[in-house]
Amino acid sequence: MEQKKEKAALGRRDFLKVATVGAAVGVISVASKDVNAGDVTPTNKDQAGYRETNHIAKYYELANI
Amino acid sequence: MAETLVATCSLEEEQRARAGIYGLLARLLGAHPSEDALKEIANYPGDDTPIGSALGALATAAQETNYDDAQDEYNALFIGVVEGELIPFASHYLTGFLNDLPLASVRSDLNRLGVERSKDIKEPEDHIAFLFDVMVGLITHEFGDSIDEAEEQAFFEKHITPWAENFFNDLIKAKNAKLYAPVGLLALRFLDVETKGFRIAP
Repeated sequence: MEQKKEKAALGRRDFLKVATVGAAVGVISVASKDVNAGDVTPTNKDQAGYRETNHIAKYYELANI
Repeated sequence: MAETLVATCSLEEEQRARAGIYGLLARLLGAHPSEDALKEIANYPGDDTPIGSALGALATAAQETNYDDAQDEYNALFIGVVEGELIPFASHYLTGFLNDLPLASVRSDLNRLGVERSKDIKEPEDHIAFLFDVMVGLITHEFGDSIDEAEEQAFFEKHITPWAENFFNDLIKAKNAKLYAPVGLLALRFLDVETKGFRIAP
């Protein structure tokens, strides 16, 4: 039972790895650099209005190490 | 802090990649890109996988626009004078009205997960960028280590699957979309990968 679960998890991981990991090289570092540059505030508060939630900014900050 | 750091460092590479793509999409859909972001997106190498080629198309589109045009495009698509060409909220897509039951459903799950929107955000939580932000938080365990893939899958299938494909199909066809057409393409291909990936999950 336990073994079967393990196998399924591996299948999913392999699938996602093939589909995303190579293609997404650079995506995370790009985003993190940008956040660290402090460039996330929209120019007009009443307009674009949508900022990153704090947890995202924190994630990128950590991922940049 | 130290704890979070460890949790983040222990992420598997496909979790990092998925969080990165959700994060990139959330940023581009939540606000127009900064000058730096455009420059760096223009350098994405791309490859011949479905997601890699969409990233390559996004890089080309980023090379062909500039900060002001990208801002104008974002505003025309999502903000507008009265409203933008598209309305990127689950409620609108599922019921035709803003702030309807789908928003209440998102809020109820956020409440259960102990997540609330940052004070800087004024838009309701069923905005596509916010929902993608939540996926990042679930994948990176920023909302707690006890959150597992079943929770990711449940949130994705309940709040994103029912409408996001329709929204991104509208985005790739939108008359104002230039930079945002490949954003829509990337999102559609990534949603496809996520949907299939969750089906493999135990």
